[in-house]
Parts: sequence; C-alpha cells; structure tokens
Amino acid sequence: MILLFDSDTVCLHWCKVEGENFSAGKCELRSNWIQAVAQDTNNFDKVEAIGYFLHHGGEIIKENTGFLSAENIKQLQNCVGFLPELNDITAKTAGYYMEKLPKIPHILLCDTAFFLDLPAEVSSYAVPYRLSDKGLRRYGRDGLLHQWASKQIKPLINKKPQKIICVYLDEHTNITAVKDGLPVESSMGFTPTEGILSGTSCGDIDPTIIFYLHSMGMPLGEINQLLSGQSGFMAILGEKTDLFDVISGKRNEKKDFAREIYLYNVIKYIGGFIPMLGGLDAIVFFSEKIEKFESLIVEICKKFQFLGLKVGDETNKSQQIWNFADKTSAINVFGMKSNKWQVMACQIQALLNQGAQK
Amino acid sequence: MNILVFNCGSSSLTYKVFRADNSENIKVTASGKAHRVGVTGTEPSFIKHKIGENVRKDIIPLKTHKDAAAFILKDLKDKIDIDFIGHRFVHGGNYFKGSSFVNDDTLKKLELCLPLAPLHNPVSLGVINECRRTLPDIKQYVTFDSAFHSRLPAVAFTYALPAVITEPMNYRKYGFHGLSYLNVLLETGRFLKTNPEKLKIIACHLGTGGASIAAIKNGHSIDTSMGYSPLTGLVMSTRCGDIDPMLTIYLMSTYGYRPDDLLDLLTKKSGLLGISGFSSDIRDILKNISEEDREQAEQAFSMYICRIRKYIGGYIAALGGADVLVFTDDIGVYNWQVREKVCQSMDWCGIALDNDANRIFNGQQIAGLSKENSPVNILCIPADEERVICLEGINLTNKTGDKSR
Repeated sequence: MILLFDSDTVCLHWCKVEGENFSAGKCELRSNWIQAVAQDTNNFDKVEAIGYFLHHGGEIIKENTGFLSAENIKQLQNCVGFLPELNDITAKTAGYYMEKLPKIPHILLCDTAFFLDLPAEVSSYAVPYRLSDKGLRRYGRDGLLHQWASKQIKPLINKKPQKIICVYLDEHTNITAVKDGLPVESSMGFTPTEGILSGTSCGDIDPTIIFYLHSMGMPLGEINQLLSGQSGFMAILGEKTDLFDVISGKRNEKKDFAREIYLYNVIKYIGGFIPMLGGLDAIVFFSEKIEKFESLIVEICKKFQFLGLKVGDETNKSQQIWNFADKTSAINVFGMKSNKWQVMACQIQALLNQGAQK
Repeated sequence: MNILVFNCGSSSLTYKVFRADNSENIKVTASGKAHRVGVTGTEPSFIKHKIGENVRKDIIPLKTHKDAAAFILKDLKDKIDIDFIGHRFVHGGNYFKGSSFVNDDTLKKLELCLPLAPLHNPVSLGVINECRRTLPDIKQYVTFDSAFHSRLPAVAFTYALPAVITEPMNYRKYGFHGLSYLNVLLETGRFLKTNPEKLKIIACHLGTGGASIAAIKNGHSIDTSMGYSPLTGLVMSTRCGDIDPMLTIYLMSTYGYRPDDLLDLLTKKSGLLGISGFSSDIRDILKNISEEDREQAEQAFSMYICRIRKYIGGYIAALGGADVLVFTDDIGVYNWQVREKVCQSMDWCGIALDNDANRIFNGQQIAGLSKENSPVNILCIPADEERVICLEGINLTNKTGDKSR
C-alpha cells in the first residue's frame, strides 16, 4: 500500500493506494493536526511507501519525484519560505512520518520542478539581473500533471519534435507548452496569479495599479488578498463561482461576459505559446471533470480553424484519451480525465521500480 | 492651408509645417526639432530649423517645452501664415475618443487627463497654452495616442478586479502609440492599394524607448500590449513589460523595497538595460560585445524577441489569422536582425520573411519584405506621427466644414 499526502490551506488530504483502489480522506489543519492525521492513518497496515506533495520547490528541488533521506530533508525545510502556508505542512508531515517509519521509502513529489527546465528567455522577467538572487523567476505550477499529460499523448503523435500545448481545466486554468517532453512556456509565473483569471484571482493586470492602490493607503497584505482572493470571476460576478458554472451554468449578462473574457484569454495564451514551439501538433485538455468541459473545448478549437484545426462531428470517447479532431485536421485535440492521486502513485511506482532495478 | 504640428518627446519638441490642400496632397514646408529641452548637462540645448532649403541651428537655453514652443512660434509667425495648430496628447483617458478642437470645454477635460500620463500630458498642455498666448486667433486641435484604442472590446480592456477598485479610477487597458498605429493603417492601405479596414493587421511599434504591439481589425485595434500605463507588454529599453503582478508585492514586503524606488526600477532600470546590465539600446546589445557582457546581452536580445513573438502568436489567435504584419518606428524600421529573428520559424501562421530583402532594406520608405508566396504580407513602415496629426486636422476641418477659418 502506498500512502499519499497533499494539502490545501484548510486541510491535509491523504490517499491510500492499493493496486487500482484509491481511498481518500482529509484532516482539518487545527493546532493538533499532525496527531489527528497520525490517528487516522495509524491502523493502515503494510505501508510500503509514502509520497508527499510539495507545491513549491523553488530552485532547490530539481526532480519532480525523488527519495527523501535524512541528508536531504534539510532541502525540503529550506523550501518552506517559498510558500509557507502549504510547504510547511508538507515539511512537517514528511518529518513526522520519516521518524515514525524510518525503514520504508519516503518520496517527495514537487509541483514546480518540471518548469526549472524552461528556456531562460521564458523563465526570466525583464528586471535588473542583479535581482536574480532574490529568486525572481517563472516557477509555474501543476508540473506533475502537465508532464504526465504530455507523456500520455506522446504515442499518439507521430512527429519529431513533438509540439504540444497542455491545458489544465481546474479551479485555476493553467496552460503550458511542451516540446519533446520539455516545458517551453507556462501561463503561471512567479505565482499562480499571473496568467489566466480564475475563480478568485485576477490573472494578468498592469502592476502599476498595485502602486496606485498602495499610495492611496491600501496595505500590501490587503492588495495581495484582493488580487488573489477577491478578483477573477468573483469580481466580475459578485460572488464565488466555479469555472464549470461560469461556462455552463444558468446564464445572465455578467456570466456571459465572464465566459467570454475567460475564453478570450485562453485563446490568446494558446496562440501566444505556438511561436516557442515553432508550430503545433496537438492540444491536450485535461481535468478531474473533463466531461463537463466538452463544449468549451470544441468552442476553443473552433478559434484555431485558421491553422487547419478541424473538430470532428462527434468526439471519439471509446478510449481513455478522447479525440476531438477530425481525421483531416492539421492539429490533434485530445481530452483526458486527470487524477492527481493517480499521477502521484504512478510516479512513485516508477521510482520504486527504478530503485529495484538498480 | 498651413498646419503647424507640435509633437512633444520627453526631452525634445518636434514641429512640422504642412502645406495641405487636401488629405492626398500634403507637403512639409518647414520643420525642426528642439533638442535637450529641460536637460541640464555640459551640452547646451538647441533648435534645428529647416525652412524651405534653409537650415539653421540656434543654441539657446530651453528650460521647458513651453520655452521651446515660444521660440519656434516667434520664429515662424512672420514667415508663414499658419491656419491651424495641431498637438499630440499621449493619454486622453475616457474623456476623448478622437481628435478634438481646443476650446474651453476641451481644456477642462485636458486638465483632468494630466495625472493619466504625468510625464507627457502636462508638457503637451504647456505647449497648447503657449500657442494660445502667442497666437490667440489661430484655431488649435489636439490628437490622442489613446484614441486609436478607444474601441477595444471589453474582453481585451477589462482587468478582472472588483468594480469598487476599478471604477473610481477607471483602471482598464488604454493602450498607447495610437497615432503610429493610425499611420500604419493608412500607409498599409495606400501601399497595398486596398481598403485597410478589410485587413487583419498585427503592428509592432518598436521604438528606442517604448514599444508595443496592436491587433487591428475593421480599422481599429482589438487588443494592444500596453495597459493602463505604458509599463506592460513588450520588453522595452528600460521598462520591464509583462511581469507577475505579485512580484511587486513580494519585493516590497519581503525585501523592503520602497514603492517609489521599485516603480522607478521597473520603469527606468529594467527591460534591456536591466537584463544586459550595460545598455538600454538594442543596437549596443547587438554590437560586438565584450566576453564578460556576452551572456547577459544574448539573454536581453532573446527575451526582447521572445516577447514580441509571443504577442504575435496571441494576437494571430485573437484575430483568427492575420493578413499583414507591420514593423514600424526606429527599431522596427532600422534593425534587420530584430525582424529576422521575430519572423524565424513562423511559417505555421503564414509569416515568411524574404531574408535578403530584409537585410538590404534601408528604411527610407515603406516596403514589403515578405517572400512572394508568404500568406501574410510583411511590411516595414517608417513612423510619421506629425503627418498623422496633420491628417487628423484635415479630417476635423472637413467634418466641421471649417476650411477657411
């Protein structure tokens, strides 16, 4: 059995993986949360390995999947500052279980490591280079899933080099470009706020507005909360609304506008990423709820007719990977259901197998 | 009729006098430029004039643009009968959707626009006031860089921030370089002998200071890279262009940067200057550079090119394909390396540059630089803001029927 951990700001989530069976649970992050989790997981037998999801590995954690050891746990602790509210949970959880179960493998899964391979002209911001010691770069997010998605469709594209755009349709839409397995673009930047607007975050804005707000007396913490917690769809619609509802829910004028601005930005990002790829072989859309986004995907694709992308009359859903494109289409379009626990488990299994071979 | 056009730069004031019978028949009869206006240093300020075939240089202290305008007006008013005076105003906000004659009402609105472009707008207003003082009987009009973008769709101009934040200050994308884009539109139509309103155009205004891109459809822009301020978009000579907005909060709260210092850093010390560490000028960066500077210089050039290409890709998608790609202003017109790199491996969207034609192009007049079979026409168009300001004046007088004064 493999045990997996991931956290958000409210809960520590865990998942037991036994073969094809996944059973998940969570524990609220109260003051004694580590004891509570320990109690939850105490009676699990035969824990063979534990995986910990790290949201932000800075420039320290360079592999997306790697063994934790007494020697390198320090590196994990050094990452806490990149995203204290989430990374601290990961570091504490790993510390606890490594001490409790010292004999089994402990594995760290880092969500930003994939993007350390972004080309320098993409990963950098055009600020004075003497600021580079302050860690100002594009870190991206959802690296494990984007790498997984690009690998899944690799066998379906008979091209060299492979030029793929991956679109993760989640609470926070995240778009990347992957060329021959390596990332070349990412919509999320230093933080996830850059890029496409989401449920509560603003996406790309003119940063001078921040200076105006601050000069009128708004404290920085409040501006931070405004841009990441009260903007995006929430600002347009006046209430917290998830992506699916914006796209498909009951219509009104504001919702139509939110949908329109979202679509426009997604289309602009996809187009904007093609030059780094030097062309486009496939777009792959993935989501935990991919079935909800079928009509959205078709609509996005129609905007790329000018590149020879043709949507088929019917989506072929006979396989795990759906195919939206017509046979005559110059560009492939795929849809896939993603499951973060599953991706984490696969990564761990692969690492363990590799270890066993050695 | 004779139209005198003033165009304020940050430390310069350009003027041109046009003899215009109609919009087809325009000739420059006098021109000049005041240099080093308001600049203190070892070299003095001066004005160069060219009236007919006469060229003259006056070395004269010029503390403000207003001083320069006063000197130019004094010089011109006995030599030429001026019918109209046209001005360029960088930012007209929501107050001006197009060019306008100067009257009491306009002046009030211009005052309201001053904070929108604190470096540029007050200077232009100073020149307008000087003209009113010296030549009170001559009708003046004002043109706006922001006006070309006044029809941006809401999906392009909206920042997804709460209305209580955006509405009081009208935080939205405005865009700049509008007169240059208007020139691009008119010249493209003239050169391709077609109605430019039927074309989908991507125009790159690459200046030695600011730079931006616009996507143009039905004769107006549908998106542009600069935003509420001219800071966003492309990597510029000293401006950072697009960054993660959170980065500013991080630097202030974690490293204690003072807001004014940080804004100054992003505006005046970033961009090509910041990345290269030695120059804000792409020509220096492309020159043979010393070994120690090479890596940073290459990075600066790659980032500059990469950002332009990203915008071209994004705008081609927004337009659903493009008919014309235009390069304009100094870097766009005089730098073949930039054009070559920007157009490299862009055949996926039909951009195919004729590399030989591109290299020998001298930048003197409008030219087509695409390969014969390139689906997208690639044009190089020298910028001429003063001419556009003059044309706007002719349009205004035609509209109001005020041809004589």
